[in-house]
Amino acid sequence: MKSWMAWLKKHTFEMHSLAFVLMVLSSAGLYLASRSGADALVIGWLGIFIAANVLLVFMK
Amino acid sequence: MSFILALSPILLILFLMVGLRWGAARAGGAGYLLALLVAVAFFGSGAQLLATAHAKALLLSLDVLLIIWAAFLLYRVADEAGAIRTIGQALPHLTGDKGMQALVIGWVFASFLQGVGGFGVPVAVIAPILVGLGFSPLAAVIIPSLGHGWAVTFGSLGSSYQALMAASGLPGEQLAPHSALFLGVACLATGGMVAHAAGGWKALAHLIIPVAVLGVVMGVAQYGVAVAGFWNIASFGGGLAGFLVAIPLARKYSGDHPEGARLGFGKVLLALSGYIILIGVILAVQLIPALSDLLGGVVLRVEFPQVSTSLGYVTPAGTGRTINLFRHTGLVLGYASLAAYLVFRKAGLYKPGAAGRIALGTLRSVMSSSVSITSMVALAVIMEHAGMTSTLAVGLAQGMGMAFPLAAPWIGALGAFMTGSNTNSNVVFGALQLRTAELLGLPAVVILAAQTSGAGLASVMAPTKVVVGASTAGMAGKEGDVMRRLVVYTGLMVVLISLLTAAWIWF
Repeated sequence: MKSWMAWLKKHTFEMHSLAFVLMVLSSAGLYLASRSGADALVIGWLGIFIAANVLLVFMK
Repeated sequence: MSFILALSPILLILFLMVGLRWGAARAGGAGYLLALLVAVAFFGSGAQLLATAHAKALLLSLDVLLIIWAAFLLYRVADEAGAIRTIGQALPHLTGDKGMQALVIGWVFASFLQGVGGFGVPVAVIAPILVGLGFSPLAAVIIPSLGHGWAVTFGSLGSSYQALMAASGLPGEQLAPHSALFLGVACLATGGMVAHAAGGWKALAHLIIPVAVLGVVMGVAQYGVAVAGFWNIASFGGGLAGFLVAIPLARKYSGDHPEGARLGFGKVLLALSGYIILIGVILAVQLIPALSDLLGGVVLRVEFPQVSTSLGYVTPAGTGRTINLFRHTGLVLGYASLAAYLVFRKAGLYKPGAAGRIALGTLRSVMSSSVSITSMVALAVIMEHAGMTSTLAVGLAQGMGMAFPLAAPWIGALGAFMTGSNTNSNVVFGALQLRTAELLGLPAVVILAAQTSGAGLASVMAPTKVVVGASTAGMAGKEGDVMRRLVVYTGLMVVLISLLTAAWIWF
């Protein structure tokens, strides 16, 4: 766990960029999924947005 | 109980940033996750509501981020050419009087830098200059920290103000007069505090005339530019007007001039050319109808359906934030950045590989704030759609009643202190302040002016900014000393805004 956190800390810029791209893409995906009324897709895209924020929380 | 639950994401961010010293991106992520959990588990938010809230949040985030990215790009274009260093070197030659140096460099120049850059740049650039001029490291951090606070809201080319407009849904024309008025008064008080920080009551008495003159000039210039609709260059305009008046004024307080060769006028003018181009581009886009229409042809507008929680809280259908793509302030800044780059390149101010360094430096600098803003905007929009913001507003309205105007600037200040940013504070608390004002029947524009003024002034003592300032003046590890001094000055400033807000509403 410690080495994983250290790796994240070393790659802060890359991880922030990844989280940002995931949040932007999933927000757009959420809009399209909600327009088509597909709740399963909404939950999938929401999961990606949540994952991006979980990643941020682990960035020391 | 629902009030505490609605407040929990904000309390969590506060605890993580202040108590555990987490960064804004990390704390924003945690706050978002808790807001989502509370919205789903206790406020009855379903999949469609969450999807709509996230999509709206993306538009709001882009609206603010476009300006932040472009403002930093312009700063990097000028910095890579050595323009910021040149301006900083030229200023100490205006006067040898220590107090006047503090005013010109730590207040006027800091405000100018906040107008065009922001993001902690004023303190990072000015603190080392003041140390070089013989100020103590503590004073060298305190002076520019205080000096730029009044210029934060309309600074960074208007990004915090854009966030206030986005979060409240009110147009800039309505919000500008009160915000600029409160900050204009704060500007005057700032000058007095900078003089006091430089040399105590004696320095304040000695410099009372330049403090009054510069304070009025910068405050009135910012007000005039903001109210005229050019809010994205209002702080910049204030700083520039301050410069024009400070140059002849400084000669009357000449003191012993510092050693070193004076810089030529042409060199300083070239250093300022990036910002002169910016003024030209903004004026052209705003004042030439044909150009304005041409750039305004592409509009990003998204329709959203009505959504409601299972508890019955309804958000009506409507368009989200409308983004006028090629006329957006961020794009206008981009045009100015490109033109400034070409001018500096033609003048031979760049070393090989400058374009790559500018692009990479900008990306590296803005990414952390980009993720924190995206998370916090999502948090704020989810809270709004779930009825959490409304619950907080009702609780505050019932608890504070007509004393709310006194509290409004402190809410903004708290937001800025915990998130390190006027922009983030406006995003998180803008809608809450608006709702509470509406519930109490108070003028929303005055309450929102109090929000952004309190936030801007208190942002200077956010731990994230203090750490940057302390490290550049050789005060690393002594941030507590800086904070202790700043808390008194900043507290007084927010008290001033509280009194102004209450006086405006009550009388």
